[in-house]
Order: sequence, then C-alpha cells, then structure tokens
Amino acid sequence: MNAEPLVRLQGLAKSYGIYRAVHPLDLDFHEGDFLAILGPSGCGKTTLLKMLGGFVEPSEGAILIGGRDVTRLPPEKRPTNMVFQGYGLFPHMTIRQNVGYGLRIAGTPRAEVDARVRDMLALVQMEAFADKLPPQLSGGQQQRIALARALIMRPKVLLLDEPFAALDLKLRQAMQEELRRLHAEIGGTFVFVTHDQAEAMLLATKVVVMSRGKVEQVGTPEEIYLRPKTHFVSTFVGEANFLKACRRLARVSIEGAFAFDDAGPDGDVLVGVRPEKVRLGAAAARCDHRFSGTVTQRIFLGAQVQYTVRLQNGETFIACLQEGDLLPGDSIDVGWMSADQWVVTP
Amino acid sequence: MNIAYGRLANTTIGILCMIFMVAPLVLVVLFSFGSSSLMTFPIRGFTFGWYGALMARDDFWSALANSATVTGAVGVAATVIGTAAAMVIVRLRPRQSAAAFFLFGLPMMMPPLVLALALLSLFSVLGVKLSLVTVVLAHLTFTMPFVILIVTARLRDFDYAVIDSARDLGASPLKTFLTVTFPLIRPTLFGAALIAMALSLDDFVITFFLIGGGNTLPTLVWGMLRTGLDPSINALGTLILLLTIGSSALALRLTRYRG
Ligand SMILES: Nc1ncnc2c1ncn2[C@@H]1O[C@H](COP(=O)(O)OP(=O)(O)OP(=O)(O)O)[C@@H](O)[C@H]1O
Ligand SMILES: [Mg+2]
Repeated sequence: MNAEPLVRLQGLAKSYGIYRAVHPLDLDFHEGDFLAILGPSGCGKTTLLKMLGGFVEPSEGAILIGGRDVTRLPPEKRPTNMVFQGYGLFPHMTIRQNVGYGLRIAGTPRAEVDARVRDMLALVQMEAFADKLPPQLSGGQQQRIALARALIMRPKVLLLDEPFAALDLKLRQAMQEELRRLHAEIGGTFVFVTHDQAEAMLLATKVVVMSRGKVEQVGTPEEIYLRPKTHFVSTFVGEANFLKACRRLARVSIEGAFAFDDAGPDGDVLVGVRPEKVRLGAAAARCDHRFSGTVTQRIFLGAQVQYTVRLQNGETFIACLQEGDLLPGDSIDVGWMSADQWVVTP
Repeated sequence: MNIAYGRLANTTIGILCMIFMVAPLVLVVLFSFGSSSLMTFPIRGFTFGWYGALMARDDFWSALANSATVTGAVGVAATVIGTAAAMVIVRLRPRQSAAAFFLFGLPMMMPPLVLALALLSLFSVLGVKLSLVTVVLAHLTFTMPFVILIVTARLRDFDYAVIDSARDLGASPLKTFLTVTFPLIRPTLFGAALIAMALSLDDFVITFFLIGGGNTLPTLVWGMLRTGLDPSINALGTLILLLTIGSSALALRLTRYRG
C-alpha cells in the first residue's frame, strides 16, 4: 500500500437543517481499493457517496482526490463517475450513444469514441445490444450499461449506489461476480454503497460501517467481522453471542467464570463470540474459556446445525456446528478460544 | 334486469348530451357549405361560396394576421416562461408548490370578464396603449397556468438520475439541458404550446377589451354578427373550430403519457 492516499476526506459532514445526515468523518483510501460503505437504511450512505460525486454539497470538511481539493467542484469537473441507483440511462439514446455520451461531451474524436464504446460493450458482454434503447433491456443489462457508461470515462474513483439492490438473487450474484472481475481486470478504485453485509464482505477490500450518520468502523472484511469495535458492528455484520462482563484496570472479568487482559476504560462491557466459533462438548475441553450449559433448541440449517444453549449463569448462546447429534435437554460444555472473542461497550 | 335498464338509461342520457353539445357545431359547419343565404333547413345546394366571400373581405385577412401574431407569440412565450416556472415549482417543497400553483392558477379560474376588466384598468393606470402587445400579455395570464400544469406533471415523473448522470459524465448544466432534459420533455412542450395557442386563438372577451383597434378572428365574428347574419360567419366559425380542434387533438397526442 502506497503512503499517499488517493482519496482523503477531512471532517466531511452534511446537515439538512438541524438534522445531521453525516457526522464529521475522516477517511482515507488508496488507489486500487474496493471500498464498501455499509449500513442500515437511512444511515447516510447515499449522502456520503453523493458528496464524493459532487451531487450533495458538504456542510463542513473537505474532499481531496489525488491531493487536489475537489470539495466545491461540480460533478462534471470531478475525476469520479457514478452508477446511480436507478441507473439513469438516457431513454432517448441507443445503448451505443449512452455509453459514448461522456466521451462525446469531452470532444473525443469520433473514431476513438466508436472504438472505446466497442471495447467497453465487449467488456460488459453487451455488444449485441448496441443499437437497442435502454427501456428494451432487462434490469441486469441496464446495470451493465450504466457500469460501462461510467467506466469508459476511466474515472479515478468509480462510485456505485446500491448497484445490485434492484436485482433478484441469481442476477445479483452474477453481477457481483462481474463487478469483481471488472475490478480485477481494469483495476481502479471502486466505492460502493450497500446495506447487505454479505455483499460488502464478498466484494470489498475495505469496509466502512456506518450507523446513524457516523462511521462505526473502517477495516478489512476480516477485521470488521472478527474484531468488531462496537456493539452495532458486532451485530450488523453477523450473528453474535454476548456475555456481560466488567472491566477494571485493563482487566475484563466475567463474574464466577474467567478474566483476561484487555486495555480500555473501566466499566461494563460485553464479550462477543461468533456462533461458528463456539465449540460444544469434547471440543470445548481444549478451549481457553469454558461454561457448562443445557441445549434448549436444535435447528437443522442444511450445511450447519444451530444449537441454542442456556449457560450456567442464565445467558443464552448460539452455536453453529458442521454436524451434531445433541438434543434439547442435553447437558454440554460450551467453550471458545481467546483469539475468537472481542470486547465492546454495550 | 334493473341493471340493464339503468345501463340503457345512462347510455341514452349520454347520447342526448352529446347531441346537444355537438349539434350546434354541426349546424355551423353544415350551413357554411349551404348555398342558401338563409340559415334554414332543408339545406339545398352545396357551395364553397361563403368561404370565397369570406376571403374576399379585407378585414378577414387582417384579423387572420392579428390572430396568427397573437397566437404565435402566446404559444412561444407561454411555453418558455411556463416551463421555466414549472422547473422552479417542481423543486419547491410540497406546501410551497401548492401555494405557487394556486397563485399561478388564479387567472385561469377567474371569470374572463373580470380578468379583462382588471387588465384593462391595469394598463390604463400604467398608461400602456392598447394593442396586440397588451392582448398577448393578457393571454399569457390565462394560458401560462395550463403550460405550468402540464409541464410540472411531466417533470414530476421525470427520472432525475438522467440529469445527474449527464452532469456526472461531464456535461455542463446547459449542455445537460440541451442533450438530455429538452429532448425528453420536447413532446410535452409542443403539446403545452399547442394548448396555449388553442386557448389564445378562440378567446373573445379578453381580446375584445384589450385590443384597442383592429380585430382577431373571434372579434371579427362578433363584428360580422352585428351587421347581419351572413353564412360567411359560419365559414369563419368552421375555420376557427378546425384550428382549435386540430391543435388540441395534436396536443393531446403529444402530451399523452408514454410507457
Ligand atoms: N435532501 C434532503 N433533505 C433532508 N433530509 C435528507 C435529504 N437527503 C437525505 N436526507 C436524510 O438524510 C438521511 C440519510 O439519507 P441517505 O439517503 O444518505 O441514507 P442511506 O443510508 O442512503 O439510506 P438507504 O439505504 O435507505 O438508501 C436520511 O434520514 C434522509 O431522510
Ligand atoms: Mg441510499
């Protein structure tokens, strides 16, 4: 990773009247990053993306792209291109004209426009549709054209707002694969907005988790999933078990159970563990932390079996195992490794 | 059984209403081709003579020229100004846009006579000499609301992502308007212009008060009526009817929602 970030957001914020849609945030990302902005509906993802693209004027802060301050530049002067949620294809132009629009506006010679449009359509496998009009295309095909129309501009940063939200599951998976292939093939820096944590994990090299206008955590998918920094992130990116605990002098202890070192302010905390990191029975014996409990529920999920276990201290744990023949009522040991737990404040 | 009778009654009433509304128009058209100078049945011969008589009048040609001038100017001005207003209105908050609609719509709802009087006093207070210009200004007050209504409706279901996309791809606001917005709303604008022109063309009351001297086609009809009932009036009426219906029908086609 080179030291100089491609995009730098400094104290960037947006208010609508007294309502803060995006709280001041600092964020750097680099050339080649595939960045996901992940968060629930209404958390300010689109607002943040539109500030990057120049469609929403920030209330505070600055946006630097390649070291240049673009905060006050209109969209047409920015080295970014955006794929809009509704695609925004021009219904009165053919696919070829749609894809070539940006280059024609820029005054690119006709022959070059034609050649690049042809290459671009080949890249998204839409050559056969060049002379059709957008309304004649299916959702997935329109999506490809919107992508092609943005990518042909060779943007420094490609912005995508919920690119797959309108597609059905099969098509969504195909398009996710396609976007990943495009990123691998042509490189560049992609930023996409999604409320689907699985999509963010699948595609992104770096995930920005947002909640209520605030950035909760920035990290690789692994960091976000395995080392969530807040309660919100813990539950938003996956299932989590929590145990109430207490921290004094950098030592976290669970009453009547165990204690371990963890730096941080004193007070009540939660110790989190992912269900698939929980071991049961004999496997629990080799774990760093152990409880005894009773199985209360068994759900067969196909690839996995999910057990609900009541611990001796009354709390409930979910465990996902590859297989198992435990039944409700069985007494069982529950354990997990120190490396698989994390600590957040409630 | 009852339902069937009810249906029949409804249909009959409907047809009677239609006949009542259309019959006078049909009469005007029929008499304009009848050879007798008395407007009575049965209509005997068929002739274009009344049209010939109409064309032979000098005041017909000057009225036609005046009508064309007023209608053309109103069509262009109402569409340009009305479209600009509509573009502002769609960006307002709901409450503000409702207020704007009410204000712009007032002249449309006012009795033409009151509007004519109001404008007449306004122009005389301002010391503006009555002419075709005052007629055009007056016509704008009641034609523009229609343009605003039609264009606003089109803009409300406009996909703004296309505008954002155009800007994103490097087009300036003007270039975006020329290459994307305008081509997409062009049929609506033509339709709105035609409706404004149809309204302007057959206005009598307001024109009569504000024209000062000279005639447009409707005031010519009135003038001709005062000097005696001559079937060339029917010829003129038929002509106005044709122009109005033609432009309205075309307007409906153009503004109809697609897809
Ligand atoms: N023009 C605006 N005026 C006032 N409030 C706005 C405006 N645009 C967005 N907001 C508010 O800002 C907040 C964030 O909106 P934003 O569109 O960024 O959310 P989002 O994370 O993209 O949500 P979603 O997943 O539903 O698209 C929302 O509460 C929204 O109501
Ligand atoms: Mg959004």
